[in-house]
Amino acid sequence: MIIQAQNVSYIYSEGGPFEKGALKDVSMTVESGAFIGIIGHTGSGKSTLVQHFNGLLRPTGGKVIVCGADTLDKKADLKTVRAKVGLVFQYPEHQLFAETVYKDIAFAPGNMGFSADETDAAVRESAALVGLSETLFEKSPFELSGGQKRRAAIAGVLAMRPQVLVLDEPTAGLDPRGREDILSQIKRLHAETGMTVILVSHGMEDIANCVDYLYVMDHGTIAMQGTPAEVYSRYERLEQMGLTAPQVTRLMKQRYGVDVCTVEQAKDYILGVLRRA
Amino acid sequence: MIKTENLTFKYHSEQTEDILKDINIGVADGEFVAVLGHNGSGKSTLAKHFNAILLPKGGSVAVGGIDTRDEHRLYDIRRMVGMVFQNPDNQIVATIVEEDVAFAPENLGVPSPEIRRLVDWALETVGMSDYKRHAPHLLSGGQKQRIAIAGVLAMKPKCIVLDEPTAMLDPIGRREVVATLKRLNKEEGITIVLITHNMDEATVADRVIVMNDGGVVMDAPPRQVFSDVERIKSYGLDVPQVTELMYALRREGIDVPADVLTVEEAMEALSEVSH
Repeated sequence: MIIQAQNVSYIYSEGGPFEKGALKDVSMTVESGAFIGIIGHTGSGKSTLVQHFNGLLRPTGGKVIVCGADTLDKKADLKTVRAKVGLVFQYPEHQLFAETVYKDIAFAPGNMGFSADETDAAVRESAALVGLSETLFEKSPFELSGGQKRRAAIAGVLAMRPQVLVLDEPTAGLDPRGREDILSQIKRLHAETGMTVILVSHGMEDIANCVDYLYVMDHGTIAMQGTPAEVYSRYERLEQMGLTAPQVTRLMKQRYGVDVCTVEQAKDYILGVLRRA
Repeated sequence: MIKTENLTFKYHSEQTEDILKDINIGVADGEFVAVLGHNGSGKSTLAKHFNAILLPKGGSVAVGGIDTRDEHRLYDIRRMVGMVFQNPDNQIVATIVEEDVAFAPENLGVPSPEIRRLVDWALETVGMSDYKRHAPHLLSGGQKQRIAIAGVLAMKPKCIVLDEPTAMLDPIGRREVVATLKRLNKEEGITIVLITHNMDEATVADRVIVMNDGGVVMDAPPRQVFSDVERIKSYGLDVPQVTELMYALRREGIDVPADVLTVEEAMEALSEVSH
């Protein structure tokens, strides 16, 4: 496994007047090459959890092992951990800052001590991975469209050549076409590179089409886990937690009693039933 | 309530292409209209014409019968049509919820007892009375957005224009905001113009206007708009999942209706086909 959380708890401002428990006894194992999803409503602890995956936060109870290193271990090299686990925050385009797209993407590898040639190769590769044309390299990142900005920001993280890519709400605020573009790029990236991908979202339909395994967070704990079909089939429980299952999941469960999470699967099932009849 | 005639707009005179191209639409009193379109389709630019934040470069916009280019009537227009934007954090000015809601009527010189009444009514209407003495920054996104709506309501507008008010919210926040809008429309008779790219939200409207490339390309009730799946997709938009499923089944030669929007309707459609 590449990331392991063992009985992790996290309390913000521990001992202070604004003390707030954000994670309670969370255990999770992420295998190398997996594509997993984490869903939960705002405040459920999902962003707090993923910030543990590259040592940005360290557990106040339990421990997190990332690529063999215990993030609590004083001797652990967190710089290496952060290079291995690339974290793309919400609205990552707010973090673009360099004069050109190229320089922005090249910032992290430069800082990590890549040689000029290595950096150049990393920039070109990661831009290609997110489908960003090299003709944009000399533009200011602020001249790009919303979807392009977001891809440039993701490329900036990929350029570190991480083993794990964590994306926190990568489609927030995008329109349907922008959403589909980003998600298909992420899927392709996972398929082509075999990189471990962790997708955090509250877009249920988005996540159903991508991930192999899903964790549902509620009040700082893992409330459910399983394949998307397994998780979504318990939509009543999801709704209690302020989440909604995709329309087709509800339809197929109520009509045929089967667990389905995409339109494609629903169509195939219904056609099967009708053709047998 | 709102009427545009051959409205065209561009930001700079050097721009070769218009951002809004010859738009002719009307929004009636008490109507709930959704404006759909992908990013860059011109929908926000259009919305900003509805309370004279932007003025037409060609054609005209009339709000409650007043031409928006009439500078002397600007206050009347802004009182009639309130705007709510995407990011609630950019719209809240005070450190206490009720003071934030009181901001507009105070500025309009409304007498204090009347302000008290307006603020209480506005918070009640959006279901946030219990939070009137709270600090806005500690509220959830959906709650903050309802405070922003209350702030606009306190001006007693006839119409509220909301520019992607749920884009930054989670499913609960979305539901809260949409339920609030429905109530304002049905119970208070306030005209609602909801700019969105969320299809499920657009289905609650009386009418959906679809924008593409600066022009209005569809203008019809949601059922009619969404049943044209291919066309909607060609504009970079989505349809509700059950509508898409019905479309996929129809393409396989299964006789189901095209204009299905909800899970309940889909259940009914499927029970008829298998018998």
